[in-house]
Amino acid sequence: MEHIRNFSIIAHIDHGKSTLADRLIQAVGLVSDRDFRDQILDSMDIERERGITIKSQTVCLPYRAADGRDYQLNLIDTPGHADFTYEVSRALASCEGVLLVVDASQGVEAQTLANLYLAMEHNLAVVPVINKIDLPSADIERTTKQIEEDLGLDPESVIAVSAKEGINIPAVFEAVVKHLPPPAGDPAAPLKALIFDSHYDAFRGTIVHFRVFEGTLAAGDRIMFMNTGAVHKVEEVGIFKIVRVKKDRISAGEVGYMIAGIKTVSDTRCGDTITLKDRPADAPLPGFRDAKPVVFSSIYPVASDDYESLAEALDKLKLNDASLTYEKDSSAALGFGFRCGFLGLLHLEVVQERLEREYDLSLILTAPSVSYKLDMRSGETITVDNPALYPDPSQIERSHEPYIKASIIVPDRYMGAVMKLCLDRRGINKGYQYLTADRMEMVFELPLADVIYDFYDKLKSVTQGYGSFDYEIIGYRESSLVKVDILINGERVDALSQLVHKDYAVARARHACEKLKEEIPRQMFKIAIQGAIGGNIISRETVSPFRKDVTAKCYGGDITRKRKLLEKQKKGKKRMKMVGSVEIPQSAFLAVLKTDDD
Amino acid sequence: MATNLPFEGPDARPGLYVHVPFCLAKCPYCAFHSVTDTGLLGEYAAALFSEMEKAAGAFAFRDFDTVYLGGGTPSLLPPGVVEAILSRAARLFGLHPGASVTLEANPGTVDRKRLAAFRAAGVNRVNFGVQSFRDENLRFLGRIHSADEARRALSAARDAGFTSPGLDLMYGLPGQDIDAWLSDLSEAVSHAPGHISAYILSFEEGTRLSRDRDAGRLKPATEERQAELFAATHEFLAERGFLHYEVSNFAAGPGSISRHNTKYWNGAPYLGLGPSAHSYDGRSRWWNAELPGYLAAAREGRLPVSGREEPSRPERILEALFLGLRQSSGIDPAAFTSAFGPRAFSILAPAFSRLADEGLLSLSDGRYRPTVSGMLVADGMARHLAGILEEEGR
Ligand SMILES: Nc1nc2c(ncn2[C@@H]2O[C@H](COP(=O)(O)OP(=O)(O)O)[C@@H](O)[C@H]2O)c(=O)[nH]1
Ligand code: SF4
Repeated sequence: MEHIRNFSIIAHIDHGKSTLADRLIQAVGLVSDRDFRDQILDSMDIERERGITIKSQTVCLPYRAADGRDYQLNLIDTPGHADFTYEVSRALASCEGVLLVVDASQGVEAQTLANLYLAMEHNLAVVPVINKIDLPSADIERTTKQIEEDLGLDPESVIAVSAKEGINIPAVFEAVVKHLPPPAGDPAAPLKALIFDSHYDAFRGTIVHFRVFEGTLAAGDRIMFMNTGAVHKVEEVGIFKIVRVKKDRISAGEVGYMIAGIKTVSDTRCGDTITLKDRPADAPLPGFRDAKPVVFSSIYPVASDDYESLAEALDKLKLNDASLTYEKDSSAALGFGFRCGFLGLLHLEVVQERLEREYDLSLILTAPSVSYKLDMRSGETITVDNPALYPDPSQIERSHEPYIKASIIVPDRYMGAVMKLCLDRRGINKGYQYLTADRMEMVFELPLADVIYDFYDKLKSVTQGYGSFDYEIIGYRESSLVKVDILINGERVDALSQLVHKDYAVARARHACEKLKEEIPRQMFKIAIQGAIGGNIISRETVSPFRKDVTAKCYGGDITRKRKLLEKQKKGKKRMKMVGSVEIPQSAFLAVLKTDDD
Repeated sequence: MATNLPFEGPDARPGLYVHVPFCLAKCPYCAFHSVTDTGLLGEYAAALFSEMEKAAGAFAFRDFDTVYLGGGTPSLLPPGVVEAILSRAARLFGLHPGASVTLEANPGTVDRKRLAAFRAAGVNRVNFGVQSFRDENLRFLGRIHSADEARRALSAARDAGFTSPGLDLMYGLPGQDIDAWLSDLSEAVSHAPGHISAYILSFEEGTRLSRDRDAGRLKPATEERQAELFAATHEFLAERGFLHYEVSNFAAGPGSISRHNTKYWNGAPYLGLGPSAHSYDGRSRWWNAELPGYLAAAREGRLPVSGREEPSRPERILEALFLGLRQSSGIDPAAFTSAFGPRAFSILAPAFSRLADEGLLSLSDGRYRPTVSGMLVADGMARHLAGILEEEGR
């Protein structure tokens, strides 16, 4: 076990985590340079483009150290976004140490800090790595100082590298070997292995990624997931070396994969403990929790014929994404679709993009909603995340909404702007601290509903891109909810209803009406757009009808050309949804979700 | 406006159209097929004559009661050629007694003598592309003639025996307001025309004017302005006794409507000769090649037909709707039902009523007729109605 190191790389987004991981993999010669990009790249374009890893890629790096001994370095990748904090925590629970990457030109940011705290919670050894020293704007001295002062880490342990240029990479390997502890554990004890990820393979079904803490797992074993109780027979175990390499067994301290006839990744739970059915451990590993979706939205195909394709696409995504939930939903305006649950807004966007891009679907999403808890007069408490299921308000005694604790790191000149933004969003300031002379961390408690409504974009704009943000959910608090409906020519468009805090109702309704007015093309008839709470109209707009919609000239007997023109114009409308007698383009539904352009 | 005008429906006699694809200069707004190389006139005429021979053998059209020489600029043809065309038409297809024979004329290409010669050749209606009686407008429109030339041409036509010539006008020019337009229109009326075609300036794809607009070099009239001008035009001409029988067409009396054009709009058969001309025999539509292909066909001794289609039922319905709604005669439920069946009509009936409620249609003499504001959204109504049929028809 002395020759094993289990570690992760953690970093604020874009600080170079993936690049460094790529460099380490390349350095040990697991793949040739030429094949490198193709093999290592996450299969998901979207993650690449957005620079976010959502599915982790774990890899075992064989390394001969300066001391001449051979090591097995298990690099456990972690998702890089605040929506996936729980997944990150399970990956970190599988490690003994981390490389904390900090961009030499950006310095410490919100996720650097949040990740460090997570690492500290798991008692991990931390090796600070300053990356991007090749950049002209790199300031190693200042960054080292931040690492010392903001993070409280030993400046002596800092390694300065350029992942991109491959500068000083050997020092990283040596630090992993020297400064991170080897794992401990008894290979003969009852099995305790932590599931930190799983992915779907079209040929083999679910591939479970795990770390063994105690005992040994071998092919042929009958295993049990301690939290779900499910039992499976292990077909194969092995380790990751980019490709899967089959082994007879995986023992305490090691990281590997397991294939056990498990159909979908949803049949496994990140954070669950694997033990042997016939010789179970006394208790599961701590920290398990069901990763529950917190943001909900209904997804409809623009063309109702695409419903089946949407269903298939979601099934496929779900194979690899246990945190995505969905169930059938239907709307009078939009037809059949799915009510989906996501870990956060980013998760929602990634799923939407994959559906549109990989499955070539044209979609309409309803306004994202959080999940509310309603105490009813009848005494029961219900949970509602879909405006369509919001009960008669007179039957509701009290409502509650989820809150988060947000950590925002900004240069202090933006303090006022951030304060205003958060207070405008019903935030409660829970304090702040200076990290350096001009950078501060501000902590707020905020309603999650206010964060999923365009908070990231606003934060970015008020801080001119310098603000960084991390959050965790802290529980439910009492709220004052109303359901805002949108009526078009007097007809309620169910898909446009939103549950909002009453203070926002008028602004939200007005915004929706204005956007609809901009997006709904003029038609034969006047279109009245109204926002309403119950029977009470709180905003209105009108789309006036066409006054001229005819070509002046139609003679010379060329009826064909003119008819074709009309047919073409008519086709353009196919991408619209008929609501009553009004055609509403897909863009109108999307526009309602967006706040004003800043 | 419930006067029942002559209605050139499917049972009407056929019309003959002859396209003359030559102009002295290309107007910047014009998307019609025409070339300025008048040196090709002779070859064109020969090709046209040979097409007539072949068409008479190939198609069943007989006994035309309208002939329309359009363009381009048909008044560029020597009167002798016009004569030859008409006599061949009479010989090969037959001309019905009293057939109306119209010639489109550019005021810059005619004098009394020439007009008299056209008349002697058999032309009995002449229609001038005047466009405006304001020189600045004529310059903007790139016309080859001045306002004075237009005035002279109109009086020459009268002298030549065309008692009530027709004229084409254009309005909705950039910057034009109601007063400027009505004063132009009022001069037009002062010449006592039998027919006025008043077109809102449109920006056809591929024209210089549309490029100018796209490049921001000129600003088209707003839709509001166009609607105001349209309503003012209707009112002005209606007060002076003109029948607004189609979106852009006004007749001094029921006898002055363009029977020929009305055939296009109501499903009557017509034969189109000449480059890019279109034909319809009650089932199929076909059309000729443009000038180069047209001349080549003649050299090779074949008909110059370059395309053909047989509109499907939904296509025919769309045609019936958009053409019907352009005309004051509107849509006749009985005719619609006999053409497309009672189910189609019953699906549309509530939509017709809704359009009537909105003031876009009125039901009079048993027909759904567009109101003035309805005419101006005829295309929109047609798409709307066709859309409803499509949805319900599934
Ligand atoms: N100049 C420079 N750019 C780097 C370096 N490391 C990473 N980058 C760039 O920084 C961006 C973010 O890197 P990435 O590894 O995707 O960051 P991650 O979001 O932390 O995984 C990419 O454009 C990289 O090419 C470096 O050492 N020097
Ligand atoms: S004269 Fe008539 S056909 Fe010729 S270019 Fe001008 S508008 Fe077009």
